[in-house]
Amino acid sequence: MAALVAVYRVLGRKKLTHGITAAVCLPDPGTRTVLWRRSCSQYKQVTSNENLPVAMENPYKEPLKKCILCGKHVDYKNVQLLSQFISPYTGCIHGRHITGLCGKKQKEVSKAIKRAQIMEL
Amino acid sequence: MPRYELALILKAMQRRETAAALKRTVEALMDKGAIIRNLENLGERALPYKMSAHSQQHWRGRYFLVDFYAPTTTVQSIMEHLSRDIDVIRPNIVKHPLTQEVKECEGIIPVPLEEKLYAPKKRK
Repeated sequence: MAALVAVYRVLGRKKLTHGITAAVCLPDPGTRTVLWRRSCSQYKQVTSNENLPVAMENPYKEPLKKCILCGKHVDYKNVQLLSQFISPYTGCIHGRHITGLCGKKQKEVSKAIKRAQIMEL
Repeated sequence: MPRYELALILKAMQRRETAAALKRTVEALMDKGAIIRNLENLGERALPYKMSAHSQQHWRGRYFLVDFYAPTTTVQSIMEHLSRDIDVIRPNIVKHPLTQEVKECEGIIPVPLEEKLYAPKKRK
């Protein structure tokens, strides 16, 4: 008993259950250790039911940032919109670091610009 | 039947003549077996650059938009027919853009910067 108490003090409160389950092997075998073991196992189960965190999605998750054209359909016919993404002087299509569109939308826009250029719109 | 869109650029002509030309093209489409759904007029505009078609040069044109249903095999014959028409400056048939589904774009997924920090060196 004294040995057990000493072990408990040394290990600290958190490792109580571990300490006790480990220390069970050391002292005298027999009924006493069996009783200790049972109580230890019950104690462990109680803590695991109540206090451990429940697995769930992060409730504070913010919705992802959307680009300006997210969810909107890009058409090759609205020349005004497409002309905003090309340079007024050279006519080059602006890169992604300038337009700030997502990958899919940037590709859609560049394809629409090419199409409109070929079709003379 | 899949839907197509015809972006038609007609010569800048008098109203009567444009009407006749349109009627001609529409009838040609229907003869090939296309079912016309809608015809839109985008107005008369100055073309973005000088175009030459059928040994003539144009600076201004009238833009029309025809969406129709057509069987896939007749599309090429329609294109040939339209290119032969002298009033038509430039015909263009594309798949109808509204039939393509708008995929849900969830947003810019933030790239973990740690990966970029330890990125493997690019070898030339």
